Amino acid sequence: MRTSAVLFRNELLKATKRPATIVTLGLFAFLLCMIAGSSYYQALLHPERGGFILPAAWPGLLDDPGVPSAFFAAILLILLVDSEFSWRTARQNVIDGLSKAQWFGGKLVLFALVCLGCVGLHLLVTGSVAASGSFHIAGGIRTLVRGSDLRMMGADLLMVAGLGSVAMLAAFAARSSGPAMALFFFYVALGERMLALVLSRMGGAVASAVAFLPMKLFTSLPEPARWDPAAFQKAVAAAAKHGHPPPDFSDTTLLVWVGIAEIVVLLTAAFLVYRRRDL
Amino acid sequence: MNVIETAALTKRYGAQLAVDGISFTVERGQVFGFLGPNGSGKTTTIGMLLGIITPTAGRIRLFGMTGRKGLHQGRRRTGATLENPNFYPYLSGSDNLRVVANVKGASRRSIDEVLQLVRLADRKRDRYQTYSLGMKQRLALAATMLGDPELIVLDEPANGLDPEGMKEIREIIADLAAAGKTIFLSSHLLLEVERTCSHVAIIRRGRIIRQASVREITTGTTVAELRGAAPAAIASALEAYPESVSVQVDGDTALVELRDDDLAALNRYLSGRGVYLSHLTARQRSLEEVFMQLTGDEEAPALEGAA
Repeated sequence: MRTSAVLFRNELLKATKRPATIVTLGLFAFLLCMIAGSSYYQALLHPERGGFILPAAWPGLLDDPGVPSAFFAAILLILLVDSEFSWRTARQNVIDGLSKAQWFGGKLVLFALVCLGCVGLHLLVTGSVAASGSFHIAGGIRTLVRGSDLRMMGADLLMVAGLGSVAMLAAFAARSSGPAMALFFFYVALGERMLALVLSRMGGAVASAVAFLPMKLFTSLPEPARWDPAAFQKAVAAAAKHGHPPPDFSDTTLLVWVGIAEIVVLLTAAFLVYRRRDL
Repeated sequence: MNVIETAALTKRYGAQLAVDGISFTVERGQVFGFLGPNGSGKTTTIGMLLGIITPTAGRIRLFGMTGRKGLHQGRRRTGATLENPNFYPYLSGSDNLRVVANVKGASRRSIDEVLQLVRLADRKRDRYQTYSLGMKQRLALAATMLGDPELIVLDEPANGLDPEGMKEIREIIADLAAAGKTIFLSSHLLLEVERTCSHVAIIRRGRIIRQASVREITTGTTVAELRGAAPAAIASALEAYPESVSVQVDGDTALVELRDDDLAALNRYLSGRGVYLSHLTARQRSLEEVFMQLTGDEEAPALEGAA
């Protein structure tokens, strides 16, 4: 069996049989049901607003639980990676014949599985509720998904992967789930804001780097107005109403590429941190 | 052929020298005991052999191969467990072995075979966290056997086991040795090592202080056991005996380590000095005695099972 297949099979076995995975994904699914159910209920109460009919409902369905879905993925990654250090199975896997690089490769497989799993669950649960709403309110679905929705789904995946890679770095740096979660939430809640403040006070080109800090970049990517023409029109109208200039999303392509590069850098840093230390 | 060969292997943690330039060889088919007091560098040395600790200096060869790729290939021909058994607590014994078997390229059938061998077949579907310590140790042994490795490295495989569990582990190790496997065994249980191993190396403060066959180590010198009416007078006379290496008094018995094995000459010498014996016999030194002598009184190992 090829190494990649071995890593995939082992990571899938370990992740799917882990109670923490089932509990975390169960809680996430429950949260998604609550959010999508609430939108469904609002649509039933106010049918004149329309909205909860596919495909028009997608931007809202993707935007509302977007950041929580990234946090669920991050928590799950930290739990799954760091337990390998606390149970010393990271060490045993290497003793059993994986090289350290191959073991890390297994964690990259896990990273992909968790990110795709969280986004997939998000789409499945909210999409199912919205499909049911579409049949109930509009009597059917003409188009399931538009091109702009697919692009926004991609941006959602990039956000989950981006914050997931921050979590991976925290997990490999701390090697223990408690400290790793503290490190992750400190960065996303406070650390990056402090860093942004320092950078913006420096002015010039350095200040413009604030937009590329991971939390800011990844959470701004799935904004509906970036991808959905109707949402963009609403954003322009809202800006005009308040006398603000219209929003400018011309940097979207740049943000996507910088985001991908940041994921690569964060995962490489996680690998270097892991490789440097003995097991 | 040397299965393991180290040259000037060194590991330093900051100012602390954990392993100090050790060199040893393990030949194919040997059951090699690696002994040392707590903190002497045993586990660090094994960790370097297994690739989970990076040496500060020195060289390792496994099956004659060296370098990152060579050692990785060598390690794939090795089954090992280090310190405590390390498994996923929420997975069953069988699923834990599936993870190992996937890595080693072993078949599903071999999982059942090794589970039979360590007598865990009837508990294979139970979660690892429900296993007793003895069962965990046996599962670790089963994992090392997957993929039919040529070299088996076991670090304290009988740790925390009751006499029955130790006996089971000893029998399994004996079976593996009989099957022609090379076994590298680190243990505190000197009697177990003496019964099981063909060769030993003794490590103290990061240095190998003796490496030889068990027979060579335990029969290198003759120890005579003497008793008489005046033990103090016996000890005093023995101190002056030209062939005496060391003298110990234990209650009413004096033990003398001799350069030769001529007990008749010893008896003549003592009687010539008016010291008469009621008991004189030669005795083979146990590995425990050699170990204690070589490592001094520093942190003597646990001697359960030695009685």
